[in-house]
Amino acid sequence: MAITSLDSLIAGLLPSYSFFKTGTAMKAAGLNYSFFYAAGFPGAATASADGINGAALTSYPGQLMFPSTVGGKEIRLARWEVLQTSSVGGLSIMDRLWHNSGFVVTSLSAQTLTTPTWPARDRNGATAGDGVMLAMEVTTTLGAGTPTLTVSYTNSDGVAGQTGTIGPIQTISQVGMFYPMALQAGDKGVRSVQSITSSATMTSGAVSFVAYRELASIPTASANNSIDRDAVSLGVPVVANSAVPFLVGLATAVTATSIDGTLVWAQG
Amino acid sequence: MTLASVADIRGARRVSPVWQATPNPQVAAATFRFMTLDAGNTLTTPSTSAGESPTSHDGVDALPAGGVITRVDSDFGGIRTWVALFDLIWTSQAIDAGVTGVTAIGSSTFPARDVDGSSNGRGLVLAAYSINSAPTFTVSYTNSAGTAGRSATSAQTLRQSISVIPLDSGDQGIRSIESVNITTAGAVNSMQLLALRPVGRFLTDPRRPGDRASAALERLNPGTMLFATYAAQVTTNARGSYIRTDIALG
Repeated sequence: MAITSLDSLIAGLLPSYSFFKTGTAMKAAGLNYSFFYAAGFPGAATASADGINGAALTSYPGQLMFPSTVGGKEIRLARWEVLQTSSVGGLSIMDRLWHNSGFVVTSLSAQTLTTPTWPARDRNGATAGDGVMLAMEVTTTLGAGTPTLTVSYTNSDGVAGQTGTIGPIQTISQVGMFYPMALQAGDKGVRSVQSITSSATMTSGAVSFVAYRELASIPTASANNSIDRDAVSLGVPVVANSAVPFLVGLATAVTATSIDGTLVWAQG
Repeated sequence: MTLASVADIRGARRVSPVWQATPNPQVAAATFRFMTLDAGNTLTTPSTSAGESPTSHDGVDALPAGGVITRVDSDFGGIRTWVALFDLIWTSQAIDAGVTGVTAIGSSTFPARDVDGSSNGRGLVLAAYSINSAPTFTVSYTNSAGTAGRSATSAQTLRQSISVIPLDSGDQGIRSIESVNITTAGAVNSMQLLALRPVGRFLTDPRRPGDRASAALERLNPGTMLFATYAAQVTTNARGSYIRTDIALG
Protein backbone atom coordinates (compact mmCIF):
# COMPACT_ATOMS: atom_id res chain seq x y z
CA MET A 1 0.00 0.00 0.00
CA ALA A 2 1.13 3.55 -0.63
CA ILE A 3 -0.14 7.09 -0.57
CA THR A 4 -1.11 7.69 -4.18
CA SER A 5 -4.02 10.12 -4.01
CA LEU A 6 -5.44 12.96 -1.95
CA ASP A 7 -7.95 10.53 -0.48
CA SER A 8 -5.26 8.11 0.62
CA LEU A 9 -3.29 11.01 2.09
CA ILE A 10 -6.32 12.11 4.10
CA ALA A 11 -6.99 8.56 5.23
CA GLY A 12 -3.41 8.27 6.45
CA LEU A 13 -3.11 11.55 8.35
CA LEU A 14 -1.80 11.11 11.90
CA PRO A 15 -2.25 13.44 14.88
CA SER A 16 0.10 16.40 14.73
CA TYR A 17 3.44 16.20 16.53
CA SER A 18 4.68 19.41 18.07
CA PHE A 19 8.15 20.71 18.85
CA PHE A 20 9.70 23.74 20.44
CA LYS A 21 13.38 24.42 20.88
CA THR A 22 15.11 27.18 22.79
CA GLY A 23 18.12 27.91 20.62
CA THR A 24 21.41 29.32 21.80
CA ALA A 25 23.67 31.98 20.31
CA MET A 26 24.96 31.25 16.82
CA LYS A 27 28.36 32.04 15.35
CA ALA A 28 27.59 34.15 12.31
CA ALA A 29 25.01 34.91 9.68
CA GLY A 30 25.04 32.51 6.78
CA LEU A 31 26.03 29.51 8.86
CA ASN A 32 23.88 26.55 9.83
CA TYR A 33 22.73 25.71 13.34
CA SER A 34 21.47 22.35 14.58
CA PHE A 35 18.68 22.41 17.16
CA PHE A 36 19.51 18.81 18.14
CA TYR A 37 21.08 19.82 21.45
CA ALA A 38 18.70 22.70 22.24
CA ALA A 39 16.37 22.44 25.24
CA GLY A 40 12.65 22.21 24.71
CA PHE A 41 10.25 19.59 23.41
CA PRO A 42 11.32 16.91 22.75
CA GLY A 43 14.04 17.28 25.34
CA ALA A 44 17.58 18.02 24.22
CA ALA A 45 19.70 15.25 22.72
CA THR A 46 22.93 14.24 24.37
CA ALA A 47 26.01 13.98 22.20
CA SER A 48 27.05 10.68 20.68
CA ALA A 49 29.46 8.52 22.66
CA ASP A 50 29.81 5.94 19.90
CA GLY A 51 33.48 6.58 19.14
CA ILE A 52 35.17 7.47 15.89
CA ASN A 53 33.41 4.76 13.82
CA GLY A 54 30.06 5.98 15.05
CA ALA A 55 26.71 4.26 14.90
CA ALA A 56 23.97 3.92 12.29
CA LEU A 57 20.75 5.34 13.69
CA THR A 58 17.16 4.14 13.62
CA SER A 59 16.12 6.18 16.65
CA TYR A 60 17.84 8.54 19.05
CA PRO A 61 16.65 10.36 22.21
CA GLY A 62 16.09 14.00 21.34
CA GLN A 63 14.96 13.41 17.74
CA LEU A 64 11.69 14.88 16.56
CA MET A 65 8.76 12.54 17.13
CA PHE A 66 8.19 10.16 14.25
CA PRO A 67 5.58 7.48 13.59
CA SER A 68 6.32 3.87 14.42
CA THR A 69 6.79 1.54 11.46
CA VAL A 70 3.66 -0.21 10.22
CA GLY A 71 4.23 -3.08 7.81
CA GLY A 72 3.21 -2.35 4.25
CA LYS A 73 2.72 1.36 4.80
CA GLU A 74 4.83 4.33 3.81
CA ILE A 75 5.23 7.66 5.60
CA ARG A 76 4.99 11.11 4.04
CA LEU A 77 5.26 14.60 5.45
CA ALA A 78 1.81 16.15 5.16
CA ARG A 79 2.04 19.52 6.92
CA TRP A 80 4.71 21.63 8.57
CA GLU A 81 4.01 24.80 10.54
CA VAL A 82 6.70 26.74 12.36
CA LEU A 83 7.71 30.13 13.65
CA GLN A 84 11.06 31.48 14.73
CA THR A 85 11.66 34.33 17.12
CA SER A 86 14.58 36.20 15.65
CA SER A 87 17.39 35.10 13.37
CA VAL A 88 16.66 31.86 11.56
CA GLY A 89 15.94 32.54 7.91
CA GLY A 90 15.04 28.99 6.94
CA LEU A 91 14.65 25.57 8.47
CA SER A 92 15.29 22.11 7.14
CA ILE A 93 14.19 18.74 8.46
CA MET A 94 17.04 16.27 8.19
CA ASP A 95 17.05 12.50 8.62
CA ARG A 96 20.05 11.59 10.80
CA LEU A 97 21.51 8.34 9.46
CA TRP A 98 24.78 8.16 11.36
CA HIS A 99 26.89 10.12 13.80
CA ASN A 100 30.08 9.61 15.76
CA SER A 101 32.29 11.00 18.51
CA GLY A 102 35.96 10.81 19.41
CA PHE A 103 37.45 13.07 16.74
CA VAL A 104 40.56 14.69 18.24
CA VAL A 105 40.07 18.40 17.61
CA THR A 106 43.72 19.25 18.25
CA SER A 107 45.22 16.70 15.86
CA LEU A 108 46.47 17.59 12.40
CA SER A 109 46.90 13.97 11.37
CA ALA A 110 44.44 12.01 9.26
CA GLN A 111 41.99 10.33 11.59
CA THR A 112 40.77 7.10 10.05
CA LEU A 113 37.38 5.56 10.58
CA THR A 114 35.33 2.64 9.36
CA THR A 115 31.75 3.71 9.09
CA PRO A 116 28.98 1.11 9.26
CA THR A 117 26.64 0.62 6.34
CA TRP A 118 24.12 3.45 6.36
CA PRO A 119 20.52 2.52 7.12
CA ALA A 120 18.52 2.02 3.91
CA ARG A 121 17.22 5.56 3.94
CA ASP A 122 18.96 7.31 1.06
CA ARG A 123 16.94 9.01 -1.69
CA ASN A 124 16.03 5.61 -3.12
CA GLY A 125 15.46 3.83 0.17
CA ALA A 126 18.81 2.11 -0.24
CA THR A 127 22.15 2.06 1.56
CA ALA A 128 24.18 3.44 -1.36
CA GLY A 129 24.09 7.00 -0.07
CA ASP A 130 22.36 8.84 -2.90
CA GLY A 131 21.47 12.24 -1.42
CA VAL A 132 23.28 11.53 1.82
CA MET A 133 25.42 14.42 3.04
CA LEU A 134 28.05 14.80 5.73
CA ALA A 135 28.49 17.61 8.24
CA MET A 136 30.49 18.49 11.31
CA GLU A 137 28.30 19.38 14.30
CA VAL A 138 29.75 21.10 17.37
CA THR A 139 28.84 19.27 20.60
CA THR A 140 31.12 21.18 23.01
CA THR A 141 32.07 24.77 22.21
CA LEU A 142 35.34 24.87 20.27
CA GLY A 143 38.44 26.80 21.16
CA ALA A 144 40.40 29.09 18.89
CA GLY A 145 41.18 28.01 15.35
CA THR A 146 39.83 28.28 11.83
CA PRO A 147 40.74 24.99 10.19
CA THR A 148 39.43 23.48 7.00
CA LEU A 149 38.69 19.77 7.16
CA THR A 150 39.46 17.37 4.34
CA VAL A 151 37.33 14.25 4.17
CA SER A 152 38.17 11.11 2.23
CA TYR A 153 34.97 9.25 1.36
CA THR A 154 33.33 6.79 -0.98
CA ASN A 155 30.59 8.32 -3.08
CA SER A 156 27.11 6.95 -3.69
CA ASP A 157 28.30 5.26 -6.90
CA GLY A 158 30.83 3.28 -4.91
CA VAL A 159 33.90 5.23 -6.03
CA ALA A 160 36.44 5.38 -3.19
CA GLY A 161 39.06 8.06 -2.62
CA GLN A 162 36.78 11.03 -3.19
CA THR A 163 37.68 14.25 -1.38
CA GLY A 164 35.28 16.62 0.33
CA THR A 165 35.92 19.77 2.34
CA ILE A 166 34.28 21.21 5.44
CA GLY A 167 34.79 24.77 6.52
CA PRO A 168 36.62 26.89 7.20
CA ILE A 169 35.39 26.32 10.72
CA GLN A 170 34.75 29.55 12.64
CA THR A 171 36.86 30.14 15.73
CA ILE A 172 35.13 29.38 19.04
CA SER A 173 32.08 27.89 17.33
CA GLN A 174 29.25 27.26 19.75
CA VAL A 175 27.35 24.06 20.44
CA GLY A 176 24.99 23.33 17.57
CA MET A 177 26.97 24.98 14.78
CA PHE A 178 26.60 22.71 11.78
CA TYR A 179 29.13 22.75 8.92
CA PRO A 180 28.08 20.76 5.83
CA MET A 181 30.67 19.15 3.58
CA ALA A 182 31.13 20.16 -0.03
CA LEU A 183 31.28 17.05 -2.21
CA GLN A 184 33.86 16.39 -4.89
CA ALA A 185 32.75 17.57 -8.32
CA GLY A 186 29.97 15.44 -9.80
CA ASP A 187 29.14 13.50 -6.64
CA LYS A 188 25.61 13.31 -5.31
CA GLY A 189 26.04 11.53 -2.03
CA VAL A 190 28.24 9.80 0.52
CA ARG A 191 28.26 6.01 1.02
CA SER A 192 31.01 5.82 3.65
CA VAL A 193 33.81 7.86 5.20
CA GLN A 194 37.45 6.72 5.41
CA SER A 195 39.34 9.60 7.02
CA ILE A 196 39.09 13.20 8.18
CA THR A 197 42.03 15.61 8.44
CA SER A 198 42.04 19.03 10.05
CA SER A 199 44.34 21.75 8.66
CA ALA A 200 44.76 23.42 12.04
CA THR A 201 43.90 22.85 15.65
CA MET A 202 40.54 23.76 17.11
CA THR A 203 42.29 23.97 20.50
CA SER A 204 39.48 22.49 22.57
CA GLY A 205 35.89 21.33 22.46
CA ALA A 206 34.22 18.37 20.79
CA VAL A 207 32.44 17.58 17.53
CA SER A 208 30.35 14.88 15.91
CA PHE A 209 30.31 14.07 12.24
CA VAL A 210 26.82 13.42 10.95
CA ALA A 211 25.55 11.65 7.83
CA TYR A 212 22.13 13.00 6.99
CA ARG A 213 19.58 13.50 4.24
CA GLU A 214 17.44 16.58 3.83
CA LEU A 215 13.71 15.83 3.82
CA ALA A 216 12.10 19.25 3.45
CA SER A 217 12.76 22.95 3.92
CA ILE A 218 10.66 25.97 4.76
CA PRO A 219 11.50 29.69 4.60
CA THR A 220 11.21 31.56 7.90
CA ALA A 221 12.48 34.99 6.94
CA SER A 222 10.05 36.96 9.09
CA ALA A 223 10.42 36.66 12.85
CA ASN A 224 7.39 35.77 14.95
CA ASN A 225 5.25 34.89 11.99
CA SER A 226 3.87 31.41 11.84
CA ILE A 227 4.30 29.92 8.39
CA ASP A 228 2.97 26.63 7.11
CA ARG A 229 3.17 24.32 4.12
CA ASP A 230 0.68 21.62 3.26
CA ALA A 231 1.56 18.27 1.77
CA VAL A 232 1.48 19.40 -1.83
CA SER A 233 3.56 22.52 -1.15
CA LEU A 234 6.13 20.32 0.55
CA GLY A 235 6.23 17.93 -2.40
CA VAL A 236 4.59 15.13 -0.38
CA PRO A 237 8.05 13.81 0.51
CA VAL A 238 8.41 10.12 1.28
CA VAL A 239 10.28 9.56 4.53
CA ALA A 240 11.72 6.12 5.17
CA ASN A 241 10.62 4.06 8.15
CA SER A 242 12.72 4.52 11.31
CA ALA A 243 13.90 7.96 10.23
CA VAL A 244 15.61 10.12 12.86
CA PRO A 245 14.40 13.63 12.06
CA PHE A 246 16.06 16.73 13.46
CA LEU A 247 16.07 20.42 12.57
CA VAL A 248 18.79 22.63 11.12
CA GLY A 249 18.35 26.38 10.71
CA LEU A 250 20.16 28.99 8.64
CA ALA A 251 21.37 31.87 10.79
CA THR A 252 20.70 35.41 9.60
CA ALA A 253 22.42 36.87 12.69
CA VAL A 254 24.03 35.56 15.86
CA THR A 255 21.05 36.14 18.17
CA ALA A 256 19.82 33.08 20.06
CA THR A 257 16.58 32.07 18.38
CA SER A 258 13.80 29.80 19.49
CA ILE A 259 11.54 27.85 17.18
CA ASP A 260 8.30 26.06 17.65
CA GLY A 261 5.79 24.37 15.44
CA THR A 262 3.97 21.23 14.44
CA LEU A 263 4.50 18.41 11.98
CA VAL A 264 1.78 16.23 10.53
CA TRP A 265 2.81 12.88 9.08
CA ALA A 266 0.66 10.65 6.93
CA GLN A 267 1.06 6.89 6.98
CA GLY A 268 -0.70 4.73 4.45
CA MET B 1 -16.64 6.25 10.99
CA THR B 2 -13.20 7.49 10.03
CA LEU B 3 -12.88 10.46 7.78
CA ALA B 4 -10.78 9.03 4.99
CA SER B 5 -11.46 11.02 1.85
CA VAL B 6 -12.45 14.40 0.50
CA ALA B 7 -16.00 13.11 0.09
CA ASP B 8 -16.13 11.97 3.71
CA ILE B 9 -15.15 15.41 4.92
CA ARG B 10 -17.55 17.13 2.58
CA GLY B 11 -20.35 14.97 3.90
CA ALA B 12 -19.50 15.14 7.57
CA ARG B 13 -21.54 17.07 10.04
CA ARG B 14 -19.79 20.01 11.58
CA VAL B 15 -19.45 21.73 14.88
CA SER B 16 -18.10 25.22 15.23
CA PRO B 17 -17.06 26.15 18.73
CA VAL B 18 -16.77 29.89 19.04
CA TRP B 19 -14.77 31.81 21.56
CA GLN B 20 -14.58 35.51 22.21
CA ALA B 21 -11.18 36.96 22.91
CA THR B 22 -11.35 39.86 25.30
CA PRO B 23 -8.05 40.48 27.12
CA ASN B 24 -5.24 42.46 25.66
CA PRO B 25 -2.03 40.59 24.90
CA GLN B 26 0.36 41.19 27.78
CA VAL B 27 3.56 40.81 25.81
CA ALA B 28 4.14 41.13 22.12
CA ALA B 29 5.48 38.22 20.13
CA ALA B 30 6.11 36.06 23.15
CA THR B 31 6.68 32.66 21.68
CA PHE B 32 5.67 29.80 23.94
CA ARG B 33 3.62 32.25 25.94
CA PHE B 34 0.12 31.83 24.77
CA MET B 35 -2.29 34.34 26.12
CA THR B 36 -5.43 32.73 27.40
CA LEU B 37 -8.68 33.80 25.94
CA ASP B 38 -10.91 35.17 28.60
CA ALA B 39 -14.66 34.72 28.39
CA GLY B 40 -15.64 31.34 27.03
CA ASN B 41 -12.29 29.72 27.55
CA THR B 42 -11.20 29.90 31.16
CA LEU B 43 -9.47 27.17 33.09
CA THR B 44 -11.20 25.22 35.79
CA THR B 45 -9.49 24.90 39.15
CA PRO B 46 -9.69 21.39 40.65
CA SER B 47 -9.90 21.06 44.39
CA THR B 48 -7.63 18.04 44.88
CA SER B 49 -3.87 17.72 44.64
CA ALA B 50 -4.27 15.05 41.92
CA GLY B 51 -5.89 17.61 39.67
CA GLU B 52 -8.35 16.46 37.03
CA SER B 53 -8.88 15.78 33.37
CA PRO B 54 -11.86 17.94 32.55
CA THR B 55 -14.71 16.66 30.42
CA SER B 56 -16.04 20.14 29.90
CA HIS B 57 -14.86 23.62 30.65
CA ASP B 58 -16.79 26.82 30.66
CA GLY B 59 -19.60 25.47 28.55
CA VAL B 60 -17.44 23.64 26.00
CA ASP B 61 -18.02 19.89 25.94
CA ALA B 62 -15.60 17.15 24.99
CA LEU B 63 -15.68 16.17 21.34
CA PRO B 64 -17.09 12.83 20.23
CA ALA B 65 -15.01 10.42 18.15
CA GLY B 66 -13.95 11.02 14.60
CA GLY B 67 -13.20 14.71 14.57
CA VAL B 68 -10.81 16.49 12.27
CA ILE B 69 -10.26 20.22 12.04
CA THR B 70 -11.23 21.40 8.62
CA ARG B 71 -10.91 25.14 9.00
CA VAL B 72 -9.90 27.77 11.53
CA ASP B 73 -10.81 31.37 11.03
CA SER B 74 -10.36 34.33 13.25
CA ASP B 75 -10.19 38.07 13.41
CA PHE B 76 -8.20 39.87 16.02
CA GLY B 77 -9.17 43.39 15.18
CA GLY B 78 -6.28 44.05 12.83
CA ILE B 79 -3.65 42.43 15.01
CA ARG B 80 -1.45 39.75 13.53
CA THR B 81 -1.62 36.78 15.81
CA TRP B 82 -1.13 33.09 15.82
CA VAL B 83 -3.78 30.86 17.29
CA ALA B 84 -2.72 27.68 19.02
CA LEU B 85 -5.20 24.92 19.68
CA PHE B 86 -4.58 22.32 22.37
CA ASP B 87 -6.35 19.33 23.82
CA LEU B 88 -6.62 20.09 27.53
CA ILE B 89 -5.55 16.75 29.00
CA TRP B 90 -5.09 17.59 32.66
CA THR B 91 -4.92 20.55 34.99
CA SER B 92 -3.61 20.83 38.54
CA GLN B 93 -5.24 22.56 41.41
CA ALA B 94 -4.06 26.08 42.19
CA ILE B 95 -0.45 25.98 43.35
CA ASP B 96 0.75 28.38 45.98
CA ALA B 97 3.62 30.02 44.17
CA GLY B 98 3.92 32.60 46.93
CA VAL B 99 6.43 30.56 48.89
CA THR B 100 9.41 28.54 47.82
CA GLY B 101 9.50 24.80 48.37
CA VAL B 102 8.08 21.52 47.14
CA THR B 103 4.38 20.86 46.59
CA ALA B 104 3.34 17.23 46.03
CA ILE B 105 0.95 16.67 43.15
CA GLY B 106 0.56 13.01 42.19
CA SER B 107 -1.49 13.61 39.08
CA SER B 108 -4.44 11.41 38.19
CA THR B 109 -3.99 9.04 35.23
CA PHE B 110 -4.23 10.96 32.00
CA PRO B 111 -6.98 10.05 29.53
CA ALA B 112 -5.98 8.06 26.46
CA ARG B 113 -5.51 11.07 24.26
CA ASP B 114 -1.78 11.27 23.51
CA VAL B 115 -0.55 11.19 19.90
CA ASP B 116 -0.90 7.41 19.90
CA GLY B 117 -4.35 7.46 21.49
CA SER B 118 -2.98 6.05 24.72
CA SER B 119 -2.43 7.35 28.24
CA ASN B 120 1.35 6.97 28.06
CA GLY B 121 1.74 10.63 27.30
CA ARG B 122 3.81 10.67 24.12
CA GLY B 123 3.47 14.10 22.55
CA LEU B 124 1.97 15.71 25.66
CA VAL B 125 3.68 18.92 26.70
CA LEU B 126 4.01 20.31 30.18
CA ALA B 127 2.83 23.86 30.61
CA ALA B 128 2.19 26.35 33.37
CA TYR B 129 -0.49 28.97 33.63
CA SER B 130 0.53 31.91 35.77
CA ILE B 131 -2.28 34.23 36.71
CA ASN B 132 -0.58 37.29 38.04
CA SER B 133 3.10 36.60 38.67
CA ALA B 134 6.11 34.93 37.15
CA PRO B 135 7.55 32.35 39.53
CA THR B 136 10.37 29.99 38.60
CA PHE B 137 10.11 26.32 39.41
CA THR B 138 11.17 22.76 38.68
CA VAL B 139 8.67 19.99 38.00
CA SER B 140 9.34 16.32 38.76
CA TYR B 141 7.53 14.05 36.32
CA THR B 142 7.41 10.60 34.72
CA ASN B 143 8.10 10.64 31.01
CA SER B 144 6.08 8.91 28.31
CA ALA B 145 8.46 5.93 28.38
CA GLY B 146 7.61 5.39 32.06
CA THR B 147 10.86 6.72 33.54
CA ALA B 148 10.19 8.47 36.83
CA GLY B 149 12.24 11.24 38.39
CA ARG B 150 12.54 13.37 35.28
CA SER B 151 12.97 17.08 35.76
CA ALA B 152 11.67 20.10 33.85
CA THR B 153 12.69 23.62 34.78
CA SER B 154 10.74 26.71 33.85
CA ALA B 155 12.55 28.79 31.28
CA GLN B 156 10.16 31.67 31.18
CA THR B 157 6.84 32.30 32.79
CA LEU B 158 4.74 35.37 32.45
CA ARG B 159 1.62 36.60 34.07
CA GLN B 160 -1.65 35.81 32.37
CA SER B 161 0.11 33.44 30.05
CA ILE B 162 0.59 29.77 29.37
CA SER B 163 4.23 28.78 29.10
CA VAL B 164 5.41 25.47 27.72
CA ILE B 165 8.21 24.02 29.85
CA PRO B 166 11.29 22.34 28.30
CA LEU B 167 11.47 18.64 29.17
CA ASP B 168 14.43 16.60 30.37
CA SER B 169 16.94 15.35 27.78
CA GLY B 170 15.42 13.28 25.02
CA ASP B 171 11.91 13.07 26.49
CA GLN B 172 8.96 12.99 24.10
CA GLY B 173 6.15 13.55 26.55
CA ILE B 174 4.82 13.31 30.10
CA ARG B 175 2.87 10.45 31.69
CA SER B 176 2.35 11.91 35.16
CA ILE B 177 3.45 14.77 37.38
CA GLU B 178 4.76 14.07 40.86
CA SER B 179 5.66 17.44 42.37
CA VAL B 180 6.67 21.03 41.75
CA ASN B 181 9.43 22.92 43.53
CA ILE B 182 8.97 26.69 43.53
CA THR B 183 12.46 28.20 43.43
CA THR B 184 11.53 31.86 43.05
CA ALA B 185 8.29 32.90 44.65
CA GLY B 186 5.48 34.55 42.77
CA ALA B 187 2.01 35.26 44.07
CA VAL B 188 -0.13 33.15 46.40
CA ASN B 189 -2.26 30.47 44.70
CA SER B 190 -1.36 31.93 41.38
CA MET B 191 -0.25 29.03 39.21
CA GLN B 192 -1.57 25.87 37.62
CA LEU B 193 0.31 23.13 35.81
CA LEU B 194 -1.21 21.70 32.63
CA ALA B 195 -0.72 18.68 30.42
CA LEU B 196 -1.62 19.59 26.86
CA ARG B 197 -1.56 17.94 23.49
CA PRO B 198 -0.79 20.55 20.86
CA VAL B 199 -3.29 20.12 18.06
CA GLY B 200 -2.23 22.80 15.65
CA ARG B 201 -1.40 26.43 15.19
CA PHE B 202 -2.56 28.91 12.62
CA LEU B 203 -1.48 32.37 11.59
CA THR B 204 -4.20 34.98 11.41
CA ASP B 205 -3.47 37.83 9.09
CA PRO B 206 -5.12 41.23 9.63
CA ARG B 207 -5.02 41.84 5.91
CA ARG B 208 -7.24 38.83 5.43
CA PRO B 209 -9.62 38.84 8.36
CA GLY B 210 -11.58 35.68 8.72
CA ASP B 211 -9.37 33.79 6.35
CA ARG B 212 -7.79 30.47 7.08
CA ALA B 213 -6.89 28.57 3.98
CA SER B 214 -4.86 25.57 5.01
CA ALA B 215 -6.84 22.36 5.27
CA ALA B 216 -4.70 21.09 8.06
CA LEU B 217 -7.09 18.28 8.92
CA GLU B 218 -5.61 17.74 12.34
CA ARG B 219 -7.08 14.61 13.85
CA LEU B 220 -8.70 14.84 17.25
CA ASN B 221 -8.92 12.01 19.74
CA PRO B 222 -12.34 11.06 21.14
CA GLY B 223 -13.00 13.18 24.21
CA THR B 224 -10.77 16.04 23.09
CA MET B 225 -11.24 19.17 25.19
CA LEU B 226 -10.35 21.82 22.68
CA PHE B 227 -8.60 24.75 24.29
CA ALA B 228 -7.68 27.83 22.30
CA THR B 229 -4.86 30.26 23.01
CA TYR B 230 -3.22 32.99 21.05
CA ALA B 231 -0.11 35.13 20.97
CA ALA B 232 0.09 38.52 19.33
CA GLN B 233 2.77 40.68 17.81
CA VAL B 234 1.64 43.77 19.69
CA THR B 235 -0.14 44.54 22.94
CA THR B 236 -2.86 46.53 21.27
CA ASN B 237 -6.42 46.08 22.42
CA ALA B 238 -7.89 43.00 20.81
CA ARG B 239 -11.43 43.35 22.10
CA GLY B 240 -14.21 42.00 19.97
CA SER B 241 -11.99 39.42 18.36
CA TYR B 242 -12.98 35.85 17.74
CA ILE B 243 -11.69 32.45 16.83
CA ARG B 244 -13.96 29.95 15.14
CA THR B 245 -12.89 26.39 14.56
CA ASP B 246 -14.76 24.20 12.08
CA ILE B 247 -14.55 20.55 13.00
CA ALA B 248 -15.86 17.75 10.82
CA LEU B 249 -17.23 14.73 12.59
CA GLY B 250 -17.52 11.44 10.77
